[in-house]
Amino acid sequence: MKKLVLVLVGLVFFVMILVPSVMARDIKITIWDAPRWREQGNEDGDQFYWIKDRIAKFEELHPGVKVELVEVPWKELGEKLNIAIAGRDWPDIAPVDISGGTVKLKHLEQGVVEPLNSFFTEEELADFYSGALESYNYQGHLYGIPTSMTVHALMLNLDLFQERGVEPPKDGKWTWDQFVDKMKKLTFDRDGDGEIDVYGFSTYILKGYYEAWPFFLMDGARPLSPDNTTYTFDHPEAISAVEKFAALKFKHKVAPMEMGGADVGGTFQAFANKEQRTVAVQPWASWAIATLRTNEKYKTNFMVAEYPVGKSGKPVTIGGSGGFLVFKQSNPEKLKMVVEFAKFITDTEQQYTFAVNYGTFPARKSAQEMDPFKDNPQMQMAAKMLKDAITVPRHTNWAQIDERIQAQLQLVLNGEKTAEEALKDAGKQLERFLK
Amino acid sequence: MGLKTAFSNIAKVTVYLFLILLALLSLMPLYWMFVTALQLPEQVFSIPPKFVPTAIIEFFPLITSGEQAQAFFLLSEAFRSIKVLFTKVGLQHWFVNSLIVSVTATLGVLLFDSMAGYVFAKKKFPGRDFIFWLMISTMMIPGQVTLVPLFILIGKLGLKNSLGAVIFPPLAMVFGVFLMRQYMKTIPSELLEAAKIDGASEIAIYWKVIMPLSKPALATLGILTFMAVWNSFLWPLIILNKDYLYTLPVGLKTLQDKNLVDYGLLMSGASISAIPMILVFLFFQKYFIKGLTLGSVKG
Repeated sequence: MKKLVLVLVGLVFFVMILVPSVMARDIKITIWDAPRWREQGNEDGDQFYWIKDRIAKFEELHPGVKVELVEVPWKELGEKLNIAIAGRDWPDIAPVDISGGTVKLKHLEQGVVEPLNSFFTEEELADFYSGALESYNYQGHLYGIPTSMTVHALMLNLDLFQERGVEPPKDGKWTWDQFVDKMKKLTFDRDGDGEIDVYGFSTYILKGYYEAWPFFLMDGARPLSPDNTTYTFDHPEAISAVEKFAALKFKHKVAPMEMGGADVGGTFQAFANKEQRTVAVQPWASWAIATLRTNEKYKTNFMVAEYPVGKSGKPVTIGGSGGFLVFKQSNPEKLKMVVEFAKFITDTEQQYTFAVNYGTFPARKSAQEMDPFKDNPQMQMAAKMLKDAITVPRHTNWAQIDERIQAQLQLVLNGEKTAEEALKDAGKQLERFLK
Repeated sequence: MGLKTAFSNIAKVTVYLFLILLALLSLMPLYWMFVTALQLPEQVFSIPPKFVPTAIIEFFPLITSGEQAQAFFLLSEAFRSIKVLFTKVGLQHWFVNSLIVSVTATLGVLLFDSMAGYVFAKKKFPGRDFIFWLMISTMMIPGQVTLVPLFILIGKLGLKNSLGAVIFPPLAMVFGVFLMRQYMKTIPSELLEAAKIDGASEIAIYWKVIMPLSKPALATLGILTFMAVWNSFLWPLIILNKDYLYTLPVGLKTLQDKNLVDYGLLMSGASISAIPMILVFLFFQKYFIKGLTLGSVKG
């Protein structure tokens, strides 16, 4: 009997010691993510299925680890994250970059984001394209894991080119004059009622979006000086480019009145919706390629072309990177697991999956070597453009700077200001952000 | 006399026609929302716009021509978005959450704001007007400024990630206090004195005299609060982190692509979301009308 009591007491002690140690091993990771692609063949499917699948597999591989997904809309992700950062209650991982739109450089300086250099070997880092790594690099530290790169390009509706007997640009290259000439031919009244039914070109202007910007940079302009201390978007090369762009609407009349508004969805519908197709050429980021190729609603006979060459003598486009940041952790054991999970969702196989489904270019060379675009001439063309793509300036106040410039550009395209007035007015508003 | 009556009738008919036209115009966005919800996906943006869902136009001709299968396929396509919302998305949870949050917050606001309004309107105490105007001045602080402090406060109270986090902040709605106070000031104090002489306690005066007489103001405040909380987006988005706790506006937003908007799905969600608000308005409307006839004091 005594033995039994001793065994029971021993068991109780064992459980008391064991349970807390087991509990200590339990780690909860919170990841924020936004809707991505749907499973092929399931048009009404869950747009979080990819991350949910990854979470399930990771939890299976790591007993005691629980990953909680917070589903956040893309548009409001920045606002939610900024308040979470201000309240020092951030997630462990979130799909943002450090370009200044959401996570600002000052956040990096304040230690909100974990530097990840020590979690990668030289060999692992060598698998990333230098451009992708650079976009997550600040003052020698790697803040985040890049998963993808995107580039802006012109999408050409080849059915409309054919209908008007217009030759698409050879190898996707054209000068500004050739571009204007073709846009004029593509603007036409199909049914003879005196109203234009199809326009050559259209796009939109909205803070945080850069589809139209390569046009503004085609004569050699840049928004800020190379050291990001001076506003340079009121220089003659910027003014001439914006004037030429606005002339598409007001002088050449090859763009609808809506051009330059902020309606992203409406602009895309005008190009891709089978019931519309009222615009022959539009600039989009490379995500649109996947949509135009595979989405039943928007499948289009199209090609990808470069932006027209202006006075700078070479085509310009804007590229960007996407990836995941790991936020500051107080528990080193948890940090290790969070980074482990971040690596798990950004490995070669996942980057290949992103490329195939999401219209992005892998940030890892090994994923690119899997040839995700072997049957995709449009992405192959966009990939060529990616090599020379430039990025928006990395300035801690870029979100505010961008917002003010874009607002002035909208005024130009509304016909309320000349290019010179608008760009100079933007400059006046930006002084306080550049100090 | 006959001519005069005829003119009067013509004038009446003209006025009514004009008012009907205005009513139809103001109902147009609502109608368009319901039409888009039932429109075939590829025809949401068709030009010229279709004012009746294609499936409904084509349903009966297809039935009469014996193509039942095609007719019912079209109909099922028209209801695709609504079906998706109810079967593949947690719309029911979001709807119930929105209902719990809106009803609770509205009842709370009506109770607390009417109490505060009563005190500011009918009770005399030192610093009453100063406190009132101090409260009113807080209305000038933009909501965005208070977001972070509120986020921290709710976190410290341990309410983050609960429906309570969405219910409690609007309970201290200064606008409601202002509205109730202004209305209650118009209630004659003689009524309260008469109740006091009859032996009514403070609570009884508030509950049995003030509240019944304040129905029009309560109805207005109820509608405004319900609509504000029902439509509230940013705060629930910030403070809630679990999809099953999301309210309708937040949940519906998570269905949108980064770059493309599924307008059919969006409008179906918006239509479902609009129904409770329409019902609340219709229910409280009679109190509005009653409010117009109130205001005189019976001798």
